Amino acid sequence: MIARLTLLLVMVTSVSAGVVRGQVSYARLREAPSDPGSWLTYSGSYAAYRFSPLAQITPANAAGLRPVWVYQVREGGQVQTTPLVADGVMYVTEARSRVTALDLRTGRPLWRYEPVIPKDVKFIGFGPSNRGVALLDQTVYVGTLDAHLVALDATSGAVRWNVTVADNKLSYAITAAPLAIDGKVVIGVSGGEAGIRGFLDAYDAKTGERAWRTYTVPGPGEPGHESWGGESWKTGGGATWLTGAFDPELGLLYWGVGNPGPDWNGDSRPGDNLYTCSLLALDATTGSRRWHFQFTPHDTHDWDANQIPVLLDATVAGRPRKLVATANRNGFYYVLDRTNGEMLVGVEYARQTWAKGLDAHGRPIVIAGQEPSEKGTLVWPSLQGATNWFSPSYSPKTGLFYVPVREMGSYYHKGEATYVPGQAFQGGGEALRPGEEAYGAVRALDVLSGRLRWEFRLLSPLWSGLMATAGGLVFGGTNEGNVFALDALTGKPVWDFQTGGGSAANPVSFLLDGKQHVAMASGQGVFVFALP
Amino acid sequence: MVWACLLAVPVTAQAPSPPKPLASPSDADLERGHALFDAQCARCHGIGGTGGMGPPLNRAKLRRAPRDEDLISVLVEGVAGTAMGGAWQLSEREKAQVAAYVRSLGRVPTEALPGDPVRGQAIYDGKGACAACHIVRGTGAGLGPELTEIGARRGSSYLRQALVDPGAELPERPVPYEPNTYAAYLVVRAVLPDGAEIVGGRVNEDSFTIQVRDGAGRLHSLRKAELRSLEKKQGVSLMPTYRNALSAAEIDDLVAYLMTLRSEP
Repeated sequence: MIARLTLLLVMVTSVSAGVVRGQVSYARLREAPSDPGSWLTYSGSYAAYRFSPLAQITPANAAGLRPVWVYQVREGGQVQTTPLVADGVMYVTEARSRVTALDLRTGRPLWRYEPVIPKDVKFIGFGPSNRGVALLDQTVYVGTLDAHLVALDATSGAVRWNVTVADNKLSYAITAAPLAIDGKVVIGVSGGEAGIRGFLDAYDAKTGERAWRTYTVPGPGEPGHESWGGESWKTGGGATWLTGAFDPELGLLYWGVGNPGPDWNGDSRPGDNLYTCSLLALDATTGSRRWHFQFTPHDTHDWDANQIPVLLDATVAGRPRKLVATANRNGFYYVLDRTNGEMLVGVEYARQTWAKGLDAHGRPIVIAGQEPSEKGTLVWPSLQGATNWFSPSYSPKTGLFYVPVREMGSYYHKGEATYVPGQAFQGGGEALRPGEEAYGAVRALDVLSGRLRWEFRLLSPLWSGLMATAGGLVFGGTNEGNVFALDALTGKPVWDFQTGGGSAANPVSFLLDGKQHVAMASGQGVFVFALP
Repeated sequence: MVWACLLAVPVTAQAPSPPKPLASPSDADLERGHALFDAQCARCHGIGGTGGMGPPLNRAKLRRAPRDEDLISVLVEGVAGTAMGGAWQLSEREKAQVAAYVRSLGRVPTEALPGDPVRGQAIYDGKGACAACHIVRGTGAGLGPELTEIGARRGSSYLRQALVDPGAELPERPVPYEPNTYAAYLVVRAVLPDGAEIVGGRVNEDSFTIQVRDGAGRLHSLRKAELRSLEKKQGVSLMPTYRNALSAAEIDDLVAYLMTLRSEP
């Protein structure tokens, strides 16, 4: 009897352990930094450090890193995914919103979801890529190129619900990874080159019912509407095309907003064009706006402010402050008080030729004559920005904010812009300044002052994100296919591996059988590395 | 937004269908196309489409654009593997206007070249010894750029400059995964740990390694971190100048010959 009871207990324990293991609960997401064996959300944690607390791989042993397995995507197109890792499974996305669940030990597919994407799907101003999924409880969430949000059963990949976020005929699309919070899934949209009116949405995680929508371009009667001349707000852009950060204690979401439309011809939209090129702090329960900070008023260079906001707490001038730090596409690094949006620091981190600096409130002091012109105006940074969608990383161990940098200028052209629903609404463009003078860099900034601590130069302007680790490394990738590791304190390169295809993705780290692994997409593959 | 995907073109703007060519462009259309061409295309294709780093466009037949629709496609998509990107900064109407202007260039008489191509070919094969480094229709050595289609790729002014001052303007080629062009055949000087020196043309490079082919055709694969020094030389070429080796008339002849090297007239 005792023996039988013991057996029963063992069975119950193992079954319940299995169930618990497969549940990425909100509590687990909130405590993601204390679960370093997994990578549960796009930026690794709600505070969006893209930092791994794992420390097995160090500058002393990183030279021994070797590929463990490679998964090759089945859908051609750039692989921009941030893999998520939970409970022995890796979830990756491919172009055209494909989702594949992989066995973490071997890279063998467990299931695959292929949404039906219409042949005439619109994605104007970018590629058909997808940057990753969100996990919550037993569900995997993916935004699709034709602007749906889909909930998939984590065990089988079966669809639990599928809702239309916006009309793809008007060129709304989704490439960003959703953010799962307490009972809700938050999703941003793309379409800023096609005259959309941008918004951020939250959906009930269980039912797919929309919980709230907050427009990034205020309508008549709403604060900020006066910053749009005439009817220009209707086609004002302001896409929300990357994944934001979340402060569960304050109950606030921090989300970047993209360029105004049309991009390079601002004649039809006099005013600051709020809340484009801004960071928004939104009440996570209602979506209502708490504060905003506009980095580039009346932008005409396509300098979206969608880059990842990083949330940290620190003592500034003897006072404990809740901060948000971000390296903006416009060439400036900002530290704001995340309770009210007050700017504490705003300094250049890359070459820029359009502003003398920032005033005390953070408004750029613009140099005249840097607007796009018919003949082309040479300005740094290029319209791809001093940085772009690929993630920065913050290490609480070194106190350094690592920025993937693009050092490149371009000729900005101004052209005509006529709004036709669902078509490009850009008003010009750029011609890159070619040649050897353009380059990429990993820059380590003191997180509180923005001062440059070190730089590691790369051959060409980066399209890949960074991840710092507690082992004292910064991982990244290059356009030429190198995946590399730098010493987080000095920037000295300690390891590199040629993957055979350019990298345009973000690294992650996790444990497999108690051993630290690093994963990064490069070329048409997802590569997993570990020490022998 | 435009984060720009890493293709040969900076941005894949998926337009529903390329703009239609203008059936009968007005003077205003041609004038507008002319202004846009001078501002944005002439840097490579020369004022009036006379060519330069990019091919001459003042020809009745364009190799990549036999029909007006093809010309617009080149403007929309660029030409993969070359420095020509899609002119996505132009609106659909502007693309059609530029295409109409480019077509009009083919109706003006083409540039008369002073040299004699037959004598030029004799110089190419004889005292010029060009085949020691270049391939034409399968013959020669592959150290320098292939010249089989060079008359369709470059303008005569560029070729003349390349013969007299080869390092002045190196040909450009796009680097995979980056919508940016880099100088091809860039001369580099690397000093190895033992002090040995390698001078040659850059074949490829990434942030950690560089591949160099020396004047004898030997390939050297080098890790940058292991080198004593690595220098990229601007304004020079592995190709010798013909400034003194050939007379002005002989250079005219050689340019005239090179300009005949294309599969179509």
